[in-house]
Amino acid sequence: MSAHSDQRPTGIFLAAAGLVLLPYLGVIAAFWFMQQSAAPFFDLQDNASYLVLLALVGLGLAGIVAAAFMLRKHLNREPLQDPLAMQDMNEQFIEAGKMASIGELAAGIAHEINNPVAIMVEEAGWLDDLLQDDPEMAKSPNFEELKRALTQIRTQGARCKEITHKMLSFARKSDLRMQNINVNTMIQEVAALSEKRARYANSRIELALAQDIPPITASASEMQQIFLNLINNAVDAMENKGGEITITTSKSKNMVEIQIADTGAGIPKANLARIFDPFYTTKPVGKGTGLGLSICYTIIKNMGGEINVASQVDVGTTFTIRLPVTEAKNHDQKVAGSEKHSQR
Amino acid sequence: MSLAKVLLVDDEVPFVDTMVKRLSKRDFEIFTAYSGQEALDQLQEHPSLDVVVLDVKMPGMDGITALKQIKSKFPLVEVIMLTAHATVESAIDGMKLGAFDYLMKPAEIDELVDKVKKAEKIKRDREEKIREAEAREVFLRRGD
Repeated sequence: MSAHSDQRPTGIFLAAAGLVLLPYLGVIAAFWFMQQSAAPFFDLQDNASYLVLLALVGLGLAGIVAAAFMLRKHLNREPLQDPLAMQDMNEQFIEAGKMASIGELAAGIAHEINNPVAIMVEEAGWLDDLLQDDPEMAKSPNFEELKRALTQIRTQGARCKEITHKMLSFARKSDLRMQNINVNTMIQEVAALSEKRARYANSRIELALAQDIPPITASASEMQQIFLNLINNAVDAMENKGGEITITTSKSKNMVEIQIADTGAGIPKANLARIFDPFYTTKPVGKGTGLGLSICYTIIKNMGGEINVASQVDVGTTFTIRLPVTEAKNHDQKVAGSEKHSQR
Repeated sequence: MSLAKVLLVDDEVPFVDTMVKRLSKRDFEIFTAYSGQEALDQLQEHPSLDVVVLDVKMPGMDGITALKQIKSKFPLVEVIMLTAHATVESAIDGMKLGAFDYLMKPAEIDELVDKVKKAEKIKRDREEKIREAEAREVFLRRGD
């Protein structure tokens, strides 16, 4: 595309020069002819002089029209005729359009599927309730088999939910609206959202946000999802005895570092290596899908960042996220100053 | 004794029917509505309702609009958003507008029960504080 673009200014220059110079050339040629001619200039009896003068004026006019035509062509039409430029732009438009419509479709399907799946899962749950209530059923030789089948329906329902979740995650990925995110502001917003839940678990959220944290390039909804997931996990870890969640931000080289530390139950060493695995959860059945951290991990990796965990049983857990700083030269976003907020 | 009075709002009739059975079995007193407007009518009719379990996407008045109106007309009632749209955006919007929590469909009944109980406790605590404040005010007025 660049080679074709380079030819464009030259063409425009030649056309513009032609447009300016050709009338002058016509006039100079006419004067030259008059001086050469023995007959008086306005002697229209001299047919030859008349015809030559007319031809020169005609040529000048033709030159002006040709130059104007060239100028118009270079200014308006050339980019459209540039096959490579057209191809590039078309590909971009088609790709963006395709991704947006696939995303929309995925989100729509996910919603439509989740509703019937929810009904199936609830019906299976209701049958399970009835089975447990009926002492006669417990004596049936098919009791265990019925229980197993119902459990299987619920397990597969949960699987459908994860599939639709992934479809929506894909839909979000196709959302090209990556933007400059002010990490401190976003943490403040999410912490405010989790405040009620934390308070109920006798926990408090402390923010220690460093000054001059540069913006990162990310999808706002994905970042919210990450922070909400990690804060909710921290609250869950402290649900029994309460405690403190400290969220710290800092900048190291060209990365923004965010630490979310809790004083909760901690994660046993044996489980630490698996916590980012999909479907791995230590929460009781029905309390967690085991996907929160795996989704966080995927989003952060896709952004070129990293997430690590350090934990000690009965002391607490610290998640450390490092995300690359936006490379744009002009990010003049105001970043919240170093503050120590209490979100009790 | 029933635990809490819960209003279940969802346009999916079979879902509501089954949830009514399952939650009633767990000692909740369940009321139902199939649209945002019906939910507001039910709350008007039954002021003792504690918790609303509210679907986000419904024809007519959607869950977010209904939530705004519930919170402005019945501020003490706690709302749990229930969404089949497994994105956090709508849930976050809901929580910004004062919803207690959110759940994604299909949800585990135990998780829903847990959240309803927590929401109800918050409502009861708040009511208790209001009663105390009112009693104090009456006491002070008599003292004058």
